[in-house]
Amino acid sequence: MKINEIKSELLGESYFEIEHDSGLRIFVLSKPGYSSSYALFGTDFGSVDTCFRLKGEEDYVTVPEGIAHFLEHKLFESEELDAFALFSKTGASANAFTSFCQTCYLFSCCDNFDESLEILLNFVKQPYFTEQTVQKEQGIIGQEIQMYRDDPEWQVLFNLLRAIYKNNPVRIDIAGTKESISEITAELLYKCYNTFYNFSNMALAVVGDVTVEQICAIADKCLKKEEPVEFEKVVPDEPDEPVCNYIEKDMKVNTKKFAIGFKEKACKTGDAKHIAAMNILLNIICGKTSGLYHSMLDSGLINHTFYTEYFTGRGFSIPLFGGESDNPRKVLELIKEETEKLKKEGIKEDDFSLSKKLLYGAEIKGFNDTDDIARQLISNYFDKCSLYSYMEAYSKISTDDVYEVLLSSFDKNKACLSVIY
Amino acid sequence: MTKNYCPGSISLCFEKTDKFKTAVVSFNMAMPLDDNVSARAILPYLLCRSNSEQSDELDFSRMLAKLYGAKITPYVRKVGETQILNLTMNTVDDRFALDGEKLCSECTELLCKCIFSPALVNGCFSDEAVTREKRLLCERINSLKDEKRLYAKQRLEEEMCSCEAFSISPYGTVEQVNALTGEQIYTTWIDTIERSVIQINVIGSADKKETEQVIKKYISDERKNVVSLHTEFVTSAYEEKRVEETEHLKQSKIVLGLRANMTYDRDNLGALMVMNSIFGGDVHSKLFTNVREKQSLCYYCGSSLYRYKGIIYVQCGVETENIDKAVSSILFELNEIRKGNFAQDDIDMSVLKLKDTLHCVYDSPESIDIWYSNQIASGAVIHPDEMAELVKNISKEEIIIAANDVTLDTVFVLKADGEGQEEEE
Repeated sequence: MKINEIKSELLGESYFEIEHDSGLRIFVLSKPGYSSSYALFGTDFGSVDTCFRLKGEEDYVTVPEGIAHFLEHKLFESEELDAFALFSKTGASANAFTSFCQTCYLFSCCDNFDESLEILLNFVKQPYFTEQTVQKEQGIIGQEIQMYRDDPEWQVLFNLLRAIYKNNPVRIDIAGTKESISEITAELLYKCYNTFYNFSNMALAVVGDVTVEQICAIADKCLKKEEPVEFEKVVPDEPDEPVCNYIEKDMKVNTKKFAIGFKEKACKTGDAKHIAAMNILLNIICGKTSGLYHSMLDSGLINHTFYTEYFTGRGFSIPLFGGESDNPRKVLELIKEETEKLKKEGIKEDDFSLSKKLLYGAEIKGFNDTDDIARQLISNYFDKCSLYSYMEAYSKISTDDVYEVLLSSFDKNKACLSVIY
Repeated sequence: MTKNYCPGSISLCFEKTDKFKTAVVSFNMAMPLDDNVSARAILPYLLCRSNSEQSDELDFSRMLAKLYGAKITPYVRKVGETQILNLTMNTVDDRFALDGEKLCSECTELLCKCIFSPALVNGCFSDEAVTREKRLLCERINSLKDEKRLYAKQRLEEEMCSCEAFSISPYGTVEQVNALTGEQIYTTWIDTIERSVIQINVIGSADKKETEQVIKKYISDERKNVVSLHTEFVTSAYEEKRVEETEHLKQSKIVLGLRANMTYDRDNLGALMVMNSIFGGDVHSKLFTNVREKQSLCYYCGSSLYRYKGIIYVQCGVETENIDKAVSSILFELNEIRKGNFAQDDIDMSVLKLKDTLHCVYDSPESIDIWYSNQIASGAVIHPDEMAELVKNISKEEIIIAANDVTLDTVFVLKADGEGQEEEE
C-alpha cells in the first residue's frame, strides 16, 4: 500500500491518495471541525459508454441506452436486503447518481461512519440481478424518464446535444428511453458490471470527520485484491460540423427556454489550463461583469436565469449559454457578434484580471462542502488530474491562452441554438 | 450561534468559525404575507445591483468581482405566513484575501449600503430599474409554472389555504407586479426598513465587534413600529377537497395536503417528525418501500412535514391511469401507521436518521444561515441539537396518536393530457 500526501499551500490543507493493495484508489481529505463525513464510491462508467469489448474478445458489444443508470438502480438490491434498508440502521443518508461519464454511490452521516462505509463497500461489490427484479425496476425508471421529459430545462439541453453531435453518445438521455430500457436483461447488466466495476476502474473518496488510518482499516477489512480487467471503449468518430444550427420543441411553456452551444474540437479531459482559460473567456464574453450581459438584461432580452458554462466530459466539450428569452435568436446573434469583436480587438487586460480574481474566489468557495470535494476528487482522478489542478491553473494563465481558446472554439458557423417554446 | 440585539431592534446572529473557506453575511427582513407582497418582493432584486455610491450596475458588479468574486444573492420566500426578503453575501474568508483585506467587514458594509442607502434618481428608484425588475419578477412568477412539481405544490397551497394568508405567493401575482409604480416601491422600501423584523446572520472568521460597528453606522435610531409576525395554524381539515387541472404533460403530478394538528411550530413536533419519517420522509418509509419499490408506481413518492404551518405534503408523479391507485395507496399507508402497524425498528431508524440530518446542519454556512433565518418569525434561536432532543424519546403510542390526528385536507392533481403522451418517438 502506498500513501501520498497532496498539499495546497494556498488553501492550507491537504489530502491523501492511497494505492490500496486491493487495486482500488482511495482519497481521504480530513475536515477539522466538521461533524459529518461524506463517502463516494464511483466507477468510470456512465451513460456514454454504450459500446465496448473486453481485452481478448473479438466483437464489440453494444448495450441498450440507459444501462449504466439502470445498473445503478439495481445495485441497491441484494438477495436478502436492499442497501437502503442497511443504511437506515446506521442513520446515514445514502444515494447514487449516474452522469455521462460516471456512476457513483454515496452516503453522508455524522454518526456510525465505519459501519456505513462497510455497507457502501460491500453492496457495490455484490451485484444481484434477476429477470424479475429487472422487470420491476422498469416501472420506476419509466416514471423517472417521464419526469425528465416534463422538464423543459433538461429537454432544451438534450436537444442542443442532439443538434451538435451526430454520433457522440452524449446525445442520448442518461436514463435511456422507455423502449431502450425494455431491452435490458440481467445478463447485459452482469456484462457491464463485470467490465466496469473492477477496482482498476473505480475510486473511493472520503471527506469530513475522518482519518487516513480509519479508512485504511475499513478498506483492509472489506476489499479483496482484484486483478485488473482490461477493456476498450469505442468513441465513434464525430464530424467537425454540427448536425444542425437550430432545433426547437413545443412543450407549451410559459417562458421560452434556450441553450446555445459552439461545436469545437473536444477538449482533452483534465486539461485544466484549457478549461480555466475557457471559463475566463465565458465570463469575459457575457458573464455578470460584462457589458453584454448588462445590456441584454436591460433591454429585456434575458432574465435572471441566464448562465454560461463549459460543459465537458470524456470526448465532448461545449461552451454553453442558456436561460429564458422571448428572442433567443437575437441572444445568439449578440453572442456571435461579441466573440467576433473580441477576435478583432483582443482580450483586455482589465477584463482578464477581473475574471481571474472572480474565478479564483469561486474555486476557493468550492472547497467548503464535503460532497463537492468528494465529487471533484473522483472526477479529477478519472480525468487524470489532481484536486487542486484547476485552482493552480488560474495562477498560470495568460491573456494569450484565453485568446487562443477564443480563436479555436468560437466558430460562428458552428453555433447551435435549441429552443423550447 | 449567538444572538444580540443591535440598535433599532435588529438581531445579529453570529457564528464565529474558521472551518469554512467562505464568509456569509445574510440580511433578512420579515413582514406578514399581505396585499403588498409584490412591492416588497421586488426590493431584494432591485437593491442587490447597486447603491448610492456605486449607482452604475456594471461598475458595481465589477467591484464585487474584485472582492474575490463576492456574490450578492437576493431571494424572497415565505416561512409560515411570513414573507422573508433576503440578501445574502458570500465571499472567500478573510484569511484567503491576497492583500490582507477584511472581506467580511467590507461585505457587511456593502450590503448595508445597498439596503439602507440605495441608488436613487430624484429621490426615487430609477424608472429603468423599476421597469426591468417588474419584468424580471413577472418572468420569475411565470417560469415557476414550467416547474410542474413546484407549481403543483403552489396550487395545492392556494386551494387548501384559500381562506388563510398562507395561500399568498411570496412574489404576489403578475397583475399585482404589473400595477406597481416606482413611487409605491419607494414607499414600500421605507416602510420595510422601518417596520420589518430584521435579522442579520454572519458566519465566518470576522470580528463581532467590528460587524456591530458597521451595522450601527447605518441603523442607530430605535425603530418603534416593528411588526409582529403571526401564523394561523389550522389544526384539522374541515372537509376533503379534490382539485384537478389538465396540462400538456407526460406524467401526472399529485400533491396531497394534510393538516398535522399543530397549534404552533413546536407543538407536537417530535412525534410528528418521527411519524412523517416512517410515513414518507425517508427511504425506509412506507411510501418509499411500498408505493415506489413494491408497487413500482412512481419514481418519486415522499412526504414532508412543514412545521411553520402544520402541514404534511405528499408528492408523487405517476401515469395518469394510476392516479387513483396512487392516492389510495398513500392513504392506506397512513392508515397503517394510525393502526400501529409499524415496528420499533422503524422508530429507531427514523430517530437515527433525523438526528443525523440535524447534526449535519453545522457543516455548511448556507445550511446554518437557512436554519436560523427560518426562525426569524418566532424570535427563537434553537440549535439543531435541541431539535434532535425532541425526537429522542418518542414512543409508539405518541406516533399513533400523531398519525390519527392528521387529517387529509386537499388532493391536487395536475393531470397529463393525452397529447403529451402520444407525441413523438
